[in-house]
Amino acid sequence: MKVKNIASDAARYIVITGLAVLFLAPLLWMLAASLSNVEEIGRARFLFLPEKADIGNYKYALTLMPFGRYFLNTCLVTALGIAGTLVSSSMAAYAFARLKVPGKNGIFILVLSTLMLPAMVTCVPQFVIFKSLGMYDTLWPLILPAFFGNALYIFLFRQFFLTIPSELEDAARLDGCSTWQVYTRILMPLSGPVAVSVMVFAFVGYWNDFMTPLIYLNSVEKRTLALGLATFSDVQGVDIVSLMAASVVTLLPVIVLFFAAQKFFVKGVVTTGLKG
Amino acid sequence: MKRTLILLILILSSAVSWGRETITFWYGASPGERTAYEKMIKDFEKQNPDIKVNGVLVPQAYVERKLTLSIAGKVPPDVVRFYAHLGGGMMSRGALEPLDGLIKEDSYSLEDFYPAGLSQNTFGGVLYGLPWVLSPNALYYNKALFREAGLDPERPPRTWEELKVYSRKLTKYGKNGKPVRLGYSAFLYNPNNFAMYLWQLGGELVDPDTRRAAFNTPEGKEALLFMSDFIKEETGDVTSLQNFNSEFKGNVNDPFGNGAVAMFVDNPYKSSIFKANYPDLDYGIATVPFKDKPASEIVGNSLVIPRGSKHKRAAWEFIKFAASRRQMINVCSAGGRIPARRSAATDPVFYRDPIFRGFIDQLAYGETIPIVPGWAEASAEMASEIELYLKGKKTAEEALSDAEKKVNGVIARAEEDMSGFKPVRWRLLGVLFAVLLVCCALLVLWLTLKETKGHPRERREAGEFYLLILPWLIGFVVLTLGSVLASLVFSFAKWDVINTAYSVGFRNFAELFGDVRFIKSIWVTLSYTVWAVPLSIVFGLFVSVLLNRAGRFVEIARTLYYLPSVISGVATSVLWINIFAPAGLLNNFLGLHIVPWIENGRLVWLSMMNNADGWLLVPELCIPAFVIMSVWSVGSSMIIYLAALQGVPTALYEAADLDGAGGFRKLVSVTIPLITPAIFYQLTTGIIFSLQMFTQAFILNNGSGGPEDASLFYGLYLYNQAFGYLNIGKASAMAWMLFVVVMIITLINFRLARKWVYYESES
Repeated sequence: MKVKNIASDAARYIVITGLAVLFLAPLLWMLAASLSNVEEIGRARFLFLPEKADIGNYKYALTLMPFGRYFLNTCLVTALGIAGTLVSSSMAAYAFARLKVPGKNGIFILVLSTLMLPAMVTCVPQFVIFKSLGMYDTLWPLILPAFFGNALYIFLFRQFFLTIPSELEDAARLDGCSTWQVYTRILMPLSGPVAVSVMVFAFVGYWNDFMTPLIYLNSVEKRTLALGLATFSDVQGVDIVSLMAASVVTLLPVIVLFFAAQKFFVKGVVTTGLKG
Repeated sequence: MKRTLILLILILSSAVSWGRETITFWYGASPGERTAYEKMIKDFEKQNPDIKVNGVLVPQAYVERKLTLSIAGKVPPDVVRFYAHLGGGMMSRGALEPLDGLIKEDSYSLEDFYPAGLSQNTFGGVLYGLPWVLSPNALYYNKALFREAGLDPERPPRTWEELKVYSRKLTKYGKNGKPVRLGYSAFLYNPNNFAMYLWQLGGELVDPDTRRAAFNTPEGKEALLFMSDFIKEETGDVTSLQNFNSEFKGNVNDPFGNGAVAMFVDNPYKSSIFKANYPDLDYGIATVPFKDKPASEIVGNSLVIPRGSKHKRAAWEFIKFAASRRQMINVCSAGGRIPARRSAATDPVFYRDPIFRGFIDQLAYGETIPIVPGWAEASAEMASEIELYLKGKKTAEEALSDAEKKVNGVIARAEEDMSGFKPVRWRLLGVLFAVLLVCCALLVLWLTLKETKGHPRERREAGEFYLLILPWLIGFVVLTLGSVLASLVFSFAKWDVINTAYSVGFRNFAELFGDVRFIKSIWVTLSYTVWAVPLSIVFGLFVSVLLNRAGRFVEIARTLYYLPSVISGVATSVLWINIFAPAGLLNNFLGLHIVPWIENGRLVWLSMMNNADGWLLVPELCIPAFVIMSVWSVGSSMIIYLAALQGVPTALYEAADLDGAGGFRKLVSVTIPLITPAIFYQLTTGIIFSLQMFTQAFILNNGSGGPEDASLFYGLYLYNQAFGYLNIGKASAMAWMLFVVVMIITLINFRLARKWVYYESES
């Protein structure tokens, strides 16, 4: 029994490591590129080690755009975006998963339907709407939609709320909990992992969003990091090394956040379900 | 004291800026040009203290989208660095402010400007843009290689015949018979290449008077033959040529810079790259070799004022400043381009430089792509016909006459007289929709009240339900619903964003079903979805089960697995282009002989695939490449599964252990059934998003559909219709057809889900 366990563990770790190499290869290339110079990349055919690590690209990338300003803007948008998304999406999801209301499923399909129409055609009228609300060249078009719930995350939360046994809620109701209290005291505390997932997705989404700021922003002082990255490329010239350096810098917070967040996905941290 | 002083300065400076007019200037610029632009803006502000310039860097790939939207929203910038290829569409639709009035007012002289630059900015006899920088195509040739091959480096080829002879002497082949050096390289599907040879034969793409295709002629055929003969002789077929070209990545590993190409035709921008990256390169610039006349294309950038600018006068002042001799010299010498003014181009800075001089001499023979409505779309159609010819799938006659038909059709549609149609009646439709909305709301209210009659608890629950979804509801009504309904109206209309929308009934739909590229895009998207969705689900599940335990090692592994899904935008595209290149990461990896195999009792390492083609260049490998990309970013689905796995009660596993179930058995009977809600989520959203796939396709193939349109995804074609060709109506029709299909699939999904998705709360 024990020998078999060790063998299967070993196999598991070998597979994990093997796959990790695959996933890591492009990232390593990126890192190597950010530390190299243009001639080296030109010659390189495969993964390579820069002859001497040169942080000059980083210095250049960080001074070419007002990094601090862009960083603060991005933080603001991301923080508000995450907060708005979490609250508004989980609330709606709770209503769809738990409350019994005639016509509920029809409305839910309506929620999903907003995902089905390509944004390419709605973005023209949407632009006109934001503009007529006086929000052109402000951060509002980036932030505001978060507070109106995101269909994708409503769906995700709903799927998880549906897996929580109804006995828990019934018991709470018997103890006199209101609908709101069931949401804040029973469902949300039990939804750590999914809330963390949504947080990670929202973080990456807002952090990397390039198109919305590109379309809505003009003023330098309102720009975000993702938009700033576009500085390194145009028509005929992509400044690969500086682009990679700036990308690595932009990527760092995401890595740190994810590394911290995924600790929530450890078996046994949350115990749901009815034991025994 | 210090504080008061600062305050005083602040007040003063704000008082000054009160009286200032701010204009917005959008420009695309390479990293080198940027500094020159910023300096130009500063100089202008110094000279015009009452005007402030807000310079906004907009990468060229996104100019059309941002500009179109800003015109639709009536918040256009005041000055734009404009690209010639957008000219036909924008000028003919009246998206730009005519400059004639301003020019007359100031008695501004246009004499100093090269005529080629002016003609690019003229439509219907009206000037819409002031030419700024010009990029004429001329012949680059490597003098060192000329010497090596025994050719006179001071006597570049002048005619097609000489070009062929020279090229033969300069081309070299490796042991495998593949070329290691090309004598001359200039062929892609870009119709502008065809145009160059056509012009050199005295032909024309479009007749300027009738605005109809003029290339289905003996000259057109000869131009095509010249191209295909050259390819056949040098590399055998188109794909090998493309492989050869794409082995060279960007500016840092240029084939000409490395001596792998001895002659090619391009614009002066390249010379600035050679100067920076290949300082020792010994090369010359010559007038392009020709048959009847030495014609080549001039790509030009001009400065324009979009219609609706509120600072026309200030914008014009800025344009005049930017297009002054002095500023042109600064900007062009930074960007490796030729000034649009004769007096600037003949400045010693340019004219003493033999490289620049070569380009300036070429200006006299400069031609421009047609300035006709719909040219962006027409040239895409033409490109695919030329591609089919070069790949041997159509004869020259077929390709030319099909291209002619398509080009004429597109232009005719673009300049169609719409006076026979009725404009869309927005006000009426708005009222109609509002009434409908109120009726729906009332109906829902009435139904809810009726259903919950006599059940106060249920009625309260219904109230709470609507309160909880209120944020979503507000967003839906205010931000989403309006745009959704508007796009529905557009799908039955012809609208170019700039002018009035006209109702055309079902015409958009009918036109689409007669459109080969539309049908193709459906197939591309379906075949991608069929592979990508199941593979991502299975692989994601596999990975998350693998990583569903505690420990530092696993934590790090999870982070690594997630990383590929986090890198964004431009960085991803550079990364993936390097991965799928002929000598890229993927081919190298597959060529590492990684599969062990026993052959005749001996262990050998087999190569999985003996493939040296670039993945994005071969039609059959395009979809697999995109599927690999989607599997690579399996990290997000991993997160969802991991989250779901936390909800599986440990008690169930303990019970299974007691029953003596093995690992696999537990996975199939306990784990998977309990996380079916998450799998269902992945399936539903996976289908929805795969069918709308756009971003990667847009970034990786520069917005084109790839080889033989093999990566022309539905979403990409839709985008091209909307922002590339300004056919918002057609794009909306496409969007709504997709919507209906996705909706049906989703409804079926939900119906089927009852059979296999297990919700604990409903047990």
